[in-house]
Amino acid sequence: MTVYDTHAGDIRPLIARFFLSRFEREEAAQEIWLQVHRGAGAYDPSHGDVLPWLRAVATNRCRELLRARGRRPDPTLTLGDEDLVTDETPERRASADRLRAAVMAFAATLDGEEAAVFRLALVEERGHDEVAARVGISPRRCKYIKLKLLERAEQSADLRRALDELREP
Amino acid sequence: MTWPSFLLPLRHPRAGHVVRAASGELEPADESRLRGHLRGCDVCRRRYDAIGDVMDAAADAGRSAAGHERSRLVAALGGRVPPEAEGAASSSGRRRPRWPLMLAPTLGAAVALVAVLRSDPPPAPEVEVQWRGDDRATASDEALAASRAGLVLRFYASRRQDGTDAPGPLRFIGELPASGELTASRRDYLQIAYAGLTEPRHLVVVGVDETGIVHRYHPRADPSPLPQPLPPSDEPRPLGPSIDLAVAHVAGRVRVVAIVSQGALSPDEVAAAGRRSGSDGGRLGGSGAFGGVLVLAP
Repeated sequence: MTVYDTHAGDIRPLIARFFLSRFEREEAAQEIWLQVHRGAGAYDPSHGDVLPWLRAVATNRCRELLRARGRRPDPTLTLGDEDLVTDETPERRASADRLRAAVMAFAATLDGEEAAVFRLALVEERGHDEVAARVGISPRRCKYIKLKLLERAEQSADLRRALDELREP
Repeated sequence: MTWPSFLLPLRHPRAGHVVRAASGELEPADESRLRGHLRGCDVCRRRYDAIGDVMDAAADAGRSAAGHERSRLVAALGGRVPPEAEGAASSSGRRRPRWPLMLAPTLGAAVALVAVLRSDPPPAPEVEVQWRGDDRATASDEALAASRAGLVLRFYASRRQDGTDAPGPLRFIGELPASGELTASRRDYLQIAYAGLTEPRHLVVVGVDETGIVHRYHPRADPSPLPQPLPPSDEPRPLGPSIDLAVAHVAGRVRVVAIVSQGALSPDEVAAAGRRSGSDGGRLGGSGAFGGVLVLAP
């Protein structure tokens, strides 16, 4: 788990180069780290640092997964060191910015408990207990409000437009 | 053993299950089963992705507002301001008290803009520009969007080829007001385009660099005889020829200010338009100002 804790953040952007879907990225990450766990014995420190080895495992696994799904990797894909820095392009960043603006516009329509839970639980990413204590409600109700807000947000027409745009390859 | 109903063939899980899984609230065993369903179900997988993306965007907004983006913006806005603008800004008694440090240079930019565009005396410095990355910005986004008639500014850059002045391939570097921060180089030619405009609007775009120099991006020169409104356009349309960033620009941060209005603005009206951004009505029938930061590498 030490290797995972140290390098998961390095591998995630590489996976994002192959998969746009969050679900697929999570699945690929799971596959890669399981493979790393199983094949840890194959890593020879005398041949170099662990990160390049992890990158090679991750890249190969991502390609295999795409192949298994009948999709070919993007032929223009570059896999230099810059891949470990970011998966962003300006277009994707602009789409993400628009989604963020749409999410905050949705948040601006809320009031009372809902607004507080949205801000504390989703924007500030605080735990249920802390949010509940701050808002003066039970943790159970806090969780309920958060889940209902996510359902409503996902149904919002503006947010759906922004999400569709984000998913365009 | 009783299996959850969503595991039955051709049955989707309850909406709540997908939401709970995406937000990490589902028990591991249940999540494992749900993921089995997601692998074979595009509909549910899209929902799962959508909810995850919404959560990421909300958390991202929080990090932006509270974290490094805000710090960098404050630092950028805390740079030197044209002395005349600073003096004018400090003479105002109507500045909003909640973010005076943020506003002071911004007011300076707007006042400097008016001073450059016209030779009339500077107006009361009450323009409030909506800066992305600030928590106040999001609150009035909707009203600001209405007054902008959907207008967004798209920025493209083309790198000067080595040894020549010939421009290289055009690349998109971001848009305002959504992106907030754009990155280019002094070796770039900058092309600004507008898009999404649903009604004719007048537009003024300037940049104020860290040395206090005001760069006029649109209109490039005093319009004669009268400025014309931009025609509506969904597709990006360029705002004049490219800007050579090697000329008159220095490396560092350039605060870009855009003011949108229904009619051609006098200096006083530029200030009033900015002041009313986020509100509806007024003599101009709605106007808005927004801004961002262009980071210029050497």
